[in-house]
Parts: sequence; C-alpha cells; structure tokens
Amino acid sequence: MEPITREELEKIKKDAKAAGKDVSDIEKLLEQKEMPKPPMGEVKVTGVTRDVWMRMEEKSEKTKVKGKRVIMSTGPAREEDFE
Amino acid sequence: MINLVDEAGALSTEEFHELKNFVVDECLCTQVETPWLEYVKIRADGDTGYKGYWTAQWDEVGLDKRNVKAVIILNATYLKTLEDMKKTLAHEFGHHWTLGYMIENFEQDIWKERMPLDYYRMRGLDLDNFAPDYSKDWYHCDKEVLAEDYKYFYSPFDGEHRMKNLVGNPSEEIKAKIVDLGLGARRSWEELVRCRFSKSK
Repeated sequence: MEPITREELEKIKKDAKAAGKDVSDIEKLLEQKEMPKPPMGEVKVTGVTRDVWMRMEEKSEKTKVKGKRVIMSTGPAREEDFE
Repeated sequence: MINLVDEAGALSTEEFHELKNFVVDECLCTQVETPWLEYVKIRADGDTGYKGYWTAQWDEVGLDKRNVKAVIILNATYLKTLEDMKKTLAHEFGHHWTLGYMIENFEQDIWKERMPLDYYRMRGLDLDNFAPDYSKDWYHCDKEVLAEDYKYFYSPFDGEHRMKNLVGNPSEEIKAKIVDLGLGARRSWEELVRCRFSKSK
C-alpha cells in the first residue's frame, strides 16, 4: 500500500496539468485540511466449504469439509477485488 | 506480461500497452511469481488515502492452502499519469515479489512475522522501532521498507526511496538480499522438499 501525501498530490496536480489532464478533482481534494488515513494491513477471514475425496475402507467418497477463505491486504481486504 | 484492467478508463491505448509490459520489461520478475498475480486493476477508488495496494486471497482446509491469487489495485483518483502509475506499480510489485513467495511457500502470517533478522541487520532497522505490521505506522512497517528497496533497485525509479530520511538508501548488500527473499526463498523451499523426499526413500 502506498499512502498519498499532500506534497505528492500537489506534484501530481502539477504533472497532470502539464500532461493536459483534468485536475479539478485533485484541486478539490487539496482543499481538505487533512489527507484521509488509508486502511492498512486488513485481514478478512470467512468460512468456506470444499468438496474433497476421502479414502474410505473400500472406496473413495466425495465429502464436504469446512475451511476458511483468507484475504490479506496491504490496504483494505475486499472480496470484490477477486470477483 | 501481466493482466491489466483499466476500469477507470484512465489510459490511452499506447499507455495501456506500456503499463501492461512495464513489470516484465523493466522490473525484477520471473515466470514463477508473475502468474500468481491475477491482475492489476486501475480503478477510481476515491479519496481513500492510498495510491494503490497489493492484496492476496486463498482457501485453507486444515494445513492445505489452495487457490492462492494476488491482485494489485492502482487508484486512478490520485494517479493521473502513466509515470505515477508505474511508480506505484513498482512498489506494489515489490510486495508481490516477497509476500507472494512467503504465502505460497512457507504459509506465514505476514503481519505477525517479521522479515528475516539478517534483513533487519543489513538494513539497519531496529526491532523496537520497526514492526512486521502497521502498528508503528506505514513508514515503520518492515514490508513497506522492503517494497521501497525493491523499487529502488529493480525498477527504473532507482534512487527514489520514501524512507530515505528515516533509514537511508539501501546498500548493495540489500540488492542481493531482495532476490534471496523472493526467488531464493522458493529455491530453499524446493531444496527442503527434495531433501525430505530423498530422506524418506
């Protein structure tokens, strides 16, 4: 994760303007007193069920087993990032 | 080549192809960890405070870990030029280089385990002021220092390090250590598996 600083945003505005890009949204962001604090290192764990083949005495059988789905992020942990 | 999705419509066709090839053409990567990266997505996430982030997902059943995949998000709300996107992508791929191998090979909880102590020693990080997570802030997270070290040595943004005023620029010793922490970790793991396999024969 890379946080943004006010100084960087000012430089981005300058570079974007020089490249002929619209910077009105950045100008609005720079009017804020403080830069927002980004989410850092979020982890999300949810339950999942998986079909696995289990070897029984005479044959193999498909069985449902419970496990977990882990999302580990340097920023926010979002399920929609993997959809 | 990485899978790039420009959801924000921020890039021209030419810029899109340049960014798509950026990691393979200009950064340190191999055919091992690059396919773990599901995609890089450019998205206007709004005024969130981040320029981009690296995230990974996997399923665990007992000790079995499957379907490991990683994603890099670039926030087009702040990143307006191709150059800025490349810079953030170089940092985030730095995370992918080390954390991808850590998760895939050693199943470590990356926010609980510090980077190896010899990295701390070589980099001059002290254990009281640097943490494996963000508990001491972004600048004092060992993974963030390392991602900046990667960008410093293995991207066109050499000489640029966000923790320069805090810990100085990385030494040449760190350059080799970065390879060791990524692909080197994979080799060590493969050797360990080979060693165990030959002993069990």
